[in-house]
Amino acid sequence: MSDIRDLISAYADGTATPEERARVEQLAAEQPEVAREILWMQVARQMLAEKCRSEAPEELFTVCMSRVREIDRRQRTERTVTRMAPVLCGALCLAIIGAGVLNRNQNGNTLGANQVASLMTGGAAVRERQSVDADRAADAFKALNENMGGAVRLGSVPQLQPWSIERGYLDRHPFTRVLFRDQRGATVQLVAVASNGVAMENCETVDCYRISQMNGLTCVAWTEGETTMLLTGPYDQSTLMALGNELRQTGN
Amino acid sequence: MRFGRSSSSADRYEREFRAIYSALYGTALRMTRDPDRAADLVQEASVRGYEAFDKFDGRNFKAWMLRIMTNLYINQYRRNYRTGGQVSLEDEHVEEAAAPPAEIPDMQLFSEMLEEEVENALGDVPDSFRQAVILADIEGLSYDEIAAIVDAPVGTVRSRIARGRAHLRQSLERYAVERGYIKKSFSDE
Repeated sequence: MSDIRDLISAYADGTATPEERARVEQLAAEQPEVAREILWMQVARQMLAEKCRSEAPEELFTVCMSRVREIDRRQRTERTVTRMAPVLCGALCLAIIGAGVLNRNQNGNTLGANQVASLMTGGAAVRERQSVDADRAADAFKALNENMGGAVRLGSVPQLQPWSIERGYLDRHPFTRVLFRDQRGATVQLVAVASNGVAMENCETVDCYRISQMNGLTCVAWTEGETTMLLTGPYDQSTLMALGNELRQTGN
Repeated sequence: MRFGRSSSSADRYEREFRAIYSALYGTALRMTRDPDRAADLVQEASVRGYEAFDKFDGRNFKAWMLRIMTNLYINQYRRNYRTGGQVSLEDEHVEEAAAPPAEIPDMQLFSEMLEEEVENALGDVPDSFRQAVILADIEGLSYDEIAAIVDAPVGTVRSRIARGRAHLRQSLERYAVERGYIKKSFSDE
């Protein structure tokens, strides 16, 4: 009966093939219960079509769409963040770089105390070192001036004999260091660095000089335009200042 | 009805959903036989449908949503809500409907049956048969569409529909006798 019922059902809803229809019609002609089953199935289908209508509550639709819109908002936010991530990262990088540049500009071309200490104790990177003959002091100062773009106007003094010139960079600040020997054989160091100011700890200002102690030695600094001179040696500050005056005067 | 900011995808989904909403709810109601569970089922299906909307091939939204909802029903609701004593999904556990009554049905008498009585008669049909009958005779889906929705071969769908209609006929007949629409002797034979 099950197979026949499948055929009858298909016949009742019009999905039977022509062969199946012919078979059902033959069975219905031969067996009254088949004909009745067809009618009953048709009744059942008709009852469903006529009686089964349900009104869906509008508030449920509103709830469904609220949830859909909520998901939509979340998805769009995620998409936006994903799409904008490279841009946001780029903007962040630019902001960091910009802040760095701004910070550098705000600080001007000034060296910090640690940088100065590094410079005066040989911590800065030296790219070139050149020995200087004792009797070629004038050439040493000429080289010093050229290295600093013509900003240095110092002249040789008889009590200091140059023996070495070093050139290098402290961060992005080019510098030139001249090492002298004084008449007693002690080393005096003169550094010209491209910086319009230096930070020195516990410094004292006298005239154009800023004076500080560095590694047990007195250091005097003065600025000429965009170049700062630092002079150290085994002297007190008055001697160093006098030496500085002499160097500057002979240069002029 | 608009909710929040405009979005083409959500707008399109809302339009499609609106068109099939009543059918979806009606099917959910007849599958679960409980308005609250039907509402939960429709709501969950609407969310699942939207989450997968970009995978919709654009051909038959109603069948696509019914499949989502049917899968949800199978996977969640029946496991959670249906308990022992209910009819199993497996076809072989369902008794065959009895042979038709000796008399032919009187359509005029049946037309007096109330909607509730027909719904109750439908509710008496075993689950998998009822589901197939709902999709075929109320929602008007083809056997192929139903086969895709319930994930079963077309032959199985056809058999389920046939057996479901036979059970429905039997339930209708019982209701009709109880209400006096037809004589008791019809169903006794």
